[in-house]
Amino acid sequence: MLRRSLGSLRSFSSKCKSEPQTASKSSNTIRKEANLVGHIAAFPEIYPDFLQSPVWNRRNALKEELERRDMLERRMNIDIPEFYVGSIVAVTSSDSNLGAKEHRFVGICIRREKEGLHHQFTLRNTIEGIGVEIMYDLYNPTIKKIETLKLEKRLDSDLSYLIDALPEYSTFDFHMEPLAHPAGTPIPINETKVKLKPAPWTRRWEIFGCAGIEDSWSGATPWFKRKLQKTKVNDYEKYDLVAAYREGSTLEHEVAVQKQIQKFENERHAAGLTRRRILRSAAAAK
Amino acid sequence: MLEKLLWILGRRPPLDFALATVPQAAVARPRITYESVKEMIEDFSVVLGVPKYRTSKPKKVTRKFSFSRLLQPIDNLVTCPSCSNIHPSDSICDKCYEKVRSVTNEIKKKMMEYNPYVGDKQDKEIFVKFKGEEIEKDEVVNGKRVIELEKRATELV
Amino acid sequence: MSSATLPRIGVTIGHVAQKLKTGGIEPSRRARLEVLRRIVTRCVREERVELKWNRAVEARPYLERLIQLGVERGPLDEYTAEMMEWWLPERDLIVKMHEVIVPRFAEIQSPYTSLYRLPPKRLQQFIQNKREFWKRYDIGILEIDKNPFPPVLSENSAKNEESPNLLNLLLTDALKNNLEK
Repeated sequence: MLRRSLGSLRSFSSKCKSEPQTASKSSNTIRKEANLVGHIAAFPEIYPDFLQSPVWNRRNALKEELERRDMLERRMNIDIPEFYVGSIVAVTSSDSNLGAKEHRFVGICIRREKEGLHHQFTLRNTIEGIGVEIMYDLYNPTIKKIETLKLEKRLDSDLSYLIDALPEYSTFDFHMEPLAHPAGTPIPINETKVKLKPAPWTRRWEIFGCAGIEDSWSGATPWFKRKLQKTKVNDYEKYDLVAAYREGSTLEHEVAVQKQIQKFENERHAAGLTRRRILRSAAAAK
Repeated sequence: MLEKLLWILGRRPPLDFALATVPQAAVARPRITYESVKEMIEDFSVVLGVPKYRTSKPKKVTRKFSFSRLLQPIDNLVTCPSCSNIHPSDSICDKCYEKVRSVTNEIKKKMMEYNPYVGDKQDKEIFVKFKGEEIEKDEVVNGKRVIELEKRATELV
Repeated sequence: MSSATLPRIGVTIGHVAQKLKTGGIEPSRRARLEVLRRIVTRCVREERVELKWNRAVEARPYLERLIQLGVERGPLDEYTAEMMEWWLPERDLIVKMHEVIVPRFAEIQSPYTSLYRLPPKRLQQFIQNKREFWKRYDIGILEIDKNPFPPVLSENSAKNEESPNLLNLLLTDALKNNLEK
């Protein structure tokens, strides 16, 4: 606003109007602000639903704000625990067609995708030798309860390759006891490397460079190996800093959202209706 | 004579667009509704203005791409307040920048005088000293790499 | 703390990557990165460079991000070291980055670079040494801030830009004071 008025002032006097994009002189305030708020370092991993869309023309401040309010309201009604891709999660959802009127599913979280109210996570387990994947909407009102049975990460942020792995890697006991994570300790990384079934696979895992697969190259079929020369191996893409920036989140956004969550929590706690906490991180807890 | 002229001028239709109607004796009064389109067209006692001759290709091309279309006027020119050079408003003055560029190149030449292949590095900030300048205090330099130019500051800028 | 999210890059970034003419290299995404790498390397070495305008605009955020990585995470971070190694293939430039450029901006917010535009330049060119034609070049000056060179926009010209009108002077000063607060 002020800057614009300065600009108009300058054009008012009939002098040189050029306004180049010069370097900033102001001091770095966002880092101090982040420290003041107590910014959670793993925010994008714990709250992928509070991030902005990686597609820039889908970002809409008003829509995000309205969705965030709904998300916070929902989080006051149901306890959504911290979980990562690779954690073992149990979800109880209501189902009117069942005798018990509810359905509990236990599995490893293999994917977390989309932002805002549409955030989804997928659980995978093997039941009687058949692999089952269930995709849940995180903010679906029919979900009754979400529990984290084992809090851990894997080597990759997307475990979609488990569909082509041997069934033993995605078999989990339905009657598993929840393992408590000691507060304040970093989230353990499970470094198991899965063995894939013989090809063909659903996707060409040998070119994705997944760290959690043991020797995907020798498992690939000769036809695909020959085809590798034709396909683009794009391992240089990771050096495209701005492409990563476009898809990633920014500290400014995270601090603003965290502030909003804290304010919302404090208001609700002051009203005396609930003691439920939304903002928490097992690794950063004191 | 003059009276007649005035009478003609007075009787002239106004200078405006109008529909040229051809009176038809068969139609007693204008009809508002028609049974079909064909009937309407037959009845429609109107001649629309249409081109009499086909517009030639060169004329069309000239209309689209003539010199007055291709050349855009530059209307964002401003005068540099310090040297009165005329330049577009979204750019800096190139006459003023020429001086800056010459000094920059002088400094760059000196700055680049290091051989990275024998382990030389640009690991210090640079302090530029023009000819005839005296460094009064060492704090100004403060461990910086001093570059001495062979020209005076007044000669360059 | 080392892998924490980085702040915004303070320069205009388009929502898609622009194509760049790649000269001798076969055009591809890789070739585009190579062109940008050349520009970034040259910029770190020389601190002020003249480029085609579109290339300067495209390379500026990469340079910004690289400096930002140095400022926010330091030389010991794994990701930073990897990026520096790729973007600055010459060893002495990595040293320059960490020891000269990054300390300048330790307490300062992005953007760390400035981009000026020169008036378009028309140069005569020939096809097979016969047919002449004129080519227009849009030139930008990309510089890392706080460099040893004389400023592109001199203080003198900035002073001259002020209107002699008393009302304007007072208004400008009031606005400046307000901005400083």
